[in-house]
Amino acid sequence: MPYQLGEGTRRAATRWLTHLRRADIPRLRTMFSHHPAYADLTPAQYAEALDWLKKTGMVSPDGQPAVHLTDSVPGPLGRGLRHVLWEPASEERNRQTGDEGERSLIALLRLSGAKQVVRVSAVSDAYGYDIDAISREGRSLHVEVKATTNPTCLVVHLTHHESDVMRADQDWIMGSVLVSASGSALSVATVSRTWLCSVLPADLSPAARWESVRLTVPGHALTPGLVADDARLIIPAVEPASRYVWGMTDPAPSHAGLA
Amino acid sequence: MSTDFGRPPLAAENRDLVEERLREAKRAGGVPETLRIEWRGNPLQVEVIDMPVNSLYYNPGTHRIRAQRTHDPLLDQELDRDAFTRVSQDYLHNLLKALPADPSKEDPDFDELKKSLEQFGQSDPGLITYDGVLVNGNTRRAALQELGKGSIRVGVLPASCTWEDISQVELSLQLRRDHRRDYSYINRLLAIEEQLAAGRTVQVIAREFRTTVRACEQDMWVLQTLNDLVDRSKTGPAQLRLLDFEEAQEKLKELHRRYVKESASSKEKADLMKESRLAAIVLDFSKTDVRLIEPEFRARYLGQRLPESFTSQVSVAPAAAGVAIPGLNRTVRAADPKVAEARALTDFVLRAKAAAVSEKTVPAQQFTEATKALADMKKAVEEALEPAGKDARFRKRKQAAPDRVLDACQDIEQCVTDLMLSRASRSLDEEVFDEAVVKLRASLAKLAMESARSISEPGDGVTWLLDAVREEER
Repeated sequence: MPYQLGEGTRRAATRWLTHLRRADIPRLRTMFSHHPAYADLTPAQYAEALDWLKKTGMVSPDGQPAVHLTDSVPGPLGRGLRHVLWEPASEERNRQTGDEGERSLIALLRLSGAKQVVRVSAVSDAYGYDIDAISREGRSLHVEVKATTNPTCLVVHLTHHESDVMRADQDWIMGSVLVSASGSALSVATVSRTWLCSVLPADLSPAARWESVRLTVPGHALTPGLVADDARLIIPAVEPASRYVWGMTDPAPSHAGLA
Repeated sequence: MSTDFGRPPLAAENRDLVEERLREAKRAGGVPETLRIEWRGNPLQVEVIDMPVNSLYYNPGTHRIRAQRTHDPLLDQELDRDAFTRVSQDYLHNLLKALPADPSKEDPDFDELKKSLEQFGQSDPGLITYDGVLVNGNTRRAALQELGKGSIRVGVLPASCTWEDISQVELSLQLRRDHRRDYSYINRLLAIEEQLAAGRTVQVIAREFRTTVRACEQDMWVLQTLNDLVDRSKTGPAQLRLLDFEEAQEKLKELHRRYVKESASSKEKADLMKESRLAAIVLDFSKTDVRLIEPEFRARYLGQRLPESFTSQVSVAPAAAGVAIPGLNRTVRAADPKVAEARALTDFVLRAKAAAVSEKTVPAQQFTEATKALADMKKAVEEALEPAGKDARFRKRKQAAPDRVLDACQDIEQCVTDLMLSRASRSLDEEVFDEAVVKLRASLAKLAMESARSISEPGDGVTWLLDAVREEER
């Protein structure tokens, strides 16, 4: 089965994840195929999306979603302007997701044998990353954590300051964490620094400077697990099936350096 | 009163679907299919549409399974908490297809319904609210879902429908006598009680339920008695449920008739009879056996046969001479000790039965003790029923005592024959025989004492008996 999702199937998957908290699969399948509000996608897309969710472990065999989708899922990029809705409640949820992502990654780092794991984001955001640690092999790690509850695609926001730190600091890596309904890490992946550098915008004039950028990370720019720059795996991808979230298709790198 | 279960999670989506399909039905022209119902006291025609089977919700308040809900206490609590979760809806689905008297088994009627739907399709439309809650046709929906059918024909109630309306409409539709599966006995009782609680008079209810006022009153008495039994049966985690009495319909009705008759002459006797009969009903005795139990059953027959397990555990404290009314320095007569004793016996049987039917929830030791106590008690009542049955015949001829002596004579003569036979084969256990003869002596002494009390002018026989016993005492 293809692990790369088409846009329609991806949207179908987010609908499943949103509604499965309210009703069971047969009831939702009926609703998606009969209700006019959900008729923009075909029954085949809904079926394929559910299949993908089950294969990646995002929906349990008895129909329970493994994640509680809280990210504002981007709508179709169509005509006109897309509304960006900001509300305190969703801001609070995103803050909580970020917090859970950092905590679970710290726990995984400690499990992997890393030493001196410090959550510097709790001190200041001037560091440009969230976690400072020394890996088991003695490598210095500066991890910028991007947490999400959406397994269908990875959308991250990067500040200008973080991008500056990334370019200057060889130990800087971006680790993305899929946060489960219970607040633990379902999946961990590393965003390619090369890809990041290739897509970041440039300031066209000294008078204008971008402050924050929203990036949709494609599957090919992701590596399962937390991988340092020398391709050494620090943390494995956590759940075997979840290596295929966010459109990832590559197998995990060799477990070199892992006992 | 009907409970408010709130709205199901996909209520808004179901409303959209219902409205869209109603509009479609109007646009289609032709003669639309309608369903006639009784709505807030007046007849009303509602439109019939097709709805996807899976989008509908079972009505958690349906009277069809009111008593069976307690089958699994945990799931019952979940139903009260949220009736529209998957767990709750699955529980309702299983109850709808189960046998009313034993929800762990599937009802053969449900299979029949499935076969008929498979063969002939759906004949009458069901009925739903705008939110997609089934008011009528819950069981049909369960069957259609199991058959994998996509849609079900349903009428749609007006949008202003409340849970009280749902309850009323369901009863008015379901209680019409027709080919639907009948409500089980206990569910009918609960439905009548609900109507009474809603402030309707017995006359109105009797008319609605196509029955008489007297039958309604009898039903209420039975339900009250059953609720009392359920309360009294609580022992630790185990408790009997109303549905455990589903099979005792006829016995309970008969008990009510007999109780009313007996109460006219003596309330105390009526209560004695009621308690003893209830114990026998709980012990699953047949209707003809229960009939033999009269007010004096306990004192005359059962008293001396009670098993050890009961007498060692239960000791009824002698009733106080009176109950003091605080602040008045007055006392009123306390409940009769005989009735209290009879109640204690029934309570014992109820608790044993409750523990014996909930093997999974009670400790193993309690379960085995309860099963044994129940068997002992059943045996004791069986033994007591035999003379009681004979008595029922004897009373007509007023010859109970002489006939008993004659019966004993026959037994003794049979014993003589047996002795002769055992002498031939040398198979007599002399010690056991000796013990039996000692018992005979004691019985004869008692018989002499009672004869002296009750017979003022003794004839030859009684005189001989009295002399023999006196001789013995010297």
